[in-house]
Amino acid sequence: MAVLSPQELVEIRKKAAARVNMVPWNKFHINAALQTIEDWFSAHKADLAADIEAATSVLGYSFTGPQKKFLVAMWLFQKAGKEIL
Amino acid sequence: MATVRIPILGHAIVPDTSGEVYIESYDVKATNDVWDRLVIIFDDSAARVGLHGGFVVPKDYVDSANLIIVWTSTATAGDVAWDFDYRAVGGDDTESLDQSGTQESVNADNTAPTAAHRRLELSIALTDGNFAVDDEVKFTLFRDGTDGDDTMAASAIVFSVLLEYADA
Repeated sequence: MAVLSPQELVEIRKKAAARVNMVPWNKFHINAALQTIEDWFSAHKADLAADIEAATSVLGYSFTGPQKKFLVAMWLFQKAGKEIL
Repeated sequence: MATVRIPILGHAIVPDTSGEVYIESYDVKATNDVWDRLVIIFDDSAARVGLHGGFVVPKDYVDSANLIIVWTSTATAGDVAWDFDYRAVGGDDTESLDQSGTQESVNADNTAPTAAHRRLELSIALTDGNFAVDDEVKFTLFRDGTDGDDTMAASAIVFSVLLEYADA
């Protein structure tokens, strides 16, 4: 199971608290949610990279690992980030 | 004999080197920006982070010493673990102001407000006999992120720290 370090958890908690006017969760709640997100993405990132590769290689282009990460970040920002950040 | 409160956050305060305690304009975290002022921020941290300071015990001090922390937060869940370490130094050319030991360390947990930015007041009893009139008191107020009881996932916003006592 992939886990975030205590310092990573603190950094995310701070960023989350800074972006809302009210924080209704405590450390245990948000830590559990963040660890679940970390674990889920860690378990599925290889499959996602392979699927991107399969979709683009037939078109004659292969995205690098950092480019795939960048695209995923852009997708997250488009789908959820614009309304949150 | 009456109960008196004096503010103890004055010119002597200095945050520790953690970078997680600092002075900030209240409008950074407040939503109503009409009443702005400086506040002391104690971040959500994995460490025990603190604010150093000092004050002089008033001439009319008798006993019933309490520390009062007036604070709030944007959080509405969780607790903050507050610690207060101090040493009172008295006399005239008899006692060093440069001592490393702590005379007393007290602590208490306080729950986040039920609505963001509501005023909270925590009272922690201090040992009356540790203070004498004119003592120079050196202190550090900590938020202890290493304490499992510190569960609030946002900054604590401190407005005032007061010494409460009974006067002569």
